[in-house]
Amino acid sequence: MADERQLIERYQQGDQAAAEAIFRLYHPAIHNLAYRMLGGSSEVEDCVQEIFLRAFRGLKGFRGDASLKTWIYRIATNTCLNYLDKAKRRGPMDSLDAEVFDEGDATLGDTLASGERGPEEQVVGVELEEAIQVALDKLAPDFRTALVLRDVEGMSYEEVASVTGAALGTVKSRIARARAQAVRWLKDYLN
Amino acid sequence: MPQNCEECRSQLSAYADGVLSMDEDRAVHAHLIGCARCAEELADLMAVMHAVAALPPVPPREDPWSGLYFRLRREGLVRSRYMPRTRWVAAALLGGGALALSWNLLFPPAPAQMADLDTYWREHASFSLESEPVHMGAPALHAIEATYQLQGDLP
Repeated sequence: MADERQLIERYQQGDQAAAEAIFRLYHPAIHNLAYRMLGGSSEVEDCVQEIFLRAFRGLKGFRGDASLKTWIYRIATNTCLNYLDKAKRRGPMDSLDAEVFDEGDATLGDTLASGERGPEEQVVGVELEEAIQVALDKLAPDFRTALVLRDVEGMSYEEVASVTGAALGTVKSRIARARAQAVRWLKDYLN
Repeated sequence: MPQNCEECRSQLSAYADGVLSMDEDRAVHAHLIGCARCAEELADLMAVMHAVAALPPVPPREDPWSGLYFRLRREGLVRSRYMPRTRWVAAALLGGGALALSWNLLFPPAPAQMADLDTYWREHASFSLESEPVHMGAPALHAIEATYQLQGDLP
């Protein structure tokens, strides 16, 4: 994209307005990606700032071999995976323990794991969204990354492969397996 | 070649995305027509795919640009959005100098002030008006002299 290239060149000369334009261009999507990857934890905002800081540091030497979108998403997914890794070492992330139902002490994570739900507990609307987020949180990081990039961000298989650095066949396999697991966890909510 | 259920299910995700080759796509399609269980699997898969794709974008709770800009400035990655103070001071000094110069050109000193200058130079200059001008004060004295001659009141 010609405009994007101009923005990058202006940023490389230290133009703060160009930096802000790049930030505004990608911030909503990157925030959404981080939110879905980190399960809406309290660390999303910190992670997003870290992503852009890393991106702006690296952008000084950016030569345009990859598209800016692919390049920023690669930084974003790697940073999110680092955060997930750190969170895993600390303990479960807060969103997994979020209480979804008004009654009882069971969390949605428990409910999804146990599969014990009456008809009155069917999740709709906002609760379905939370159920999907819990399902995403339960996926292994590589599967979650592939599913979020493909189904949430709407990337093509080739773009997902470029962002994650995985082979196209691996990407197809990860997306298929992630979806199969999500179907198992969410099937009853959707019926 | 006819597919069994296992083969079909391993390709359902790619089939739903439309990324299979034409032959693979036809084989899965043919199997689905004759297999209600696999067709149901596909329906569930697509329901989940649509639900995930329909997740609303999550708006950020705060705009982190200010904090980010501060860090970028601190690391010297971007220039200030404002002119630095030293540049303002330099610009003000230059502007003031230019203004003073143009004021003197537009409004030259009055004759009375010129007379004071004449007295000053006569007392301090180390040469007489009759002599040839030998240093930088002379052209100014000659100019004063010429002015007085025009006014007809040369001493």
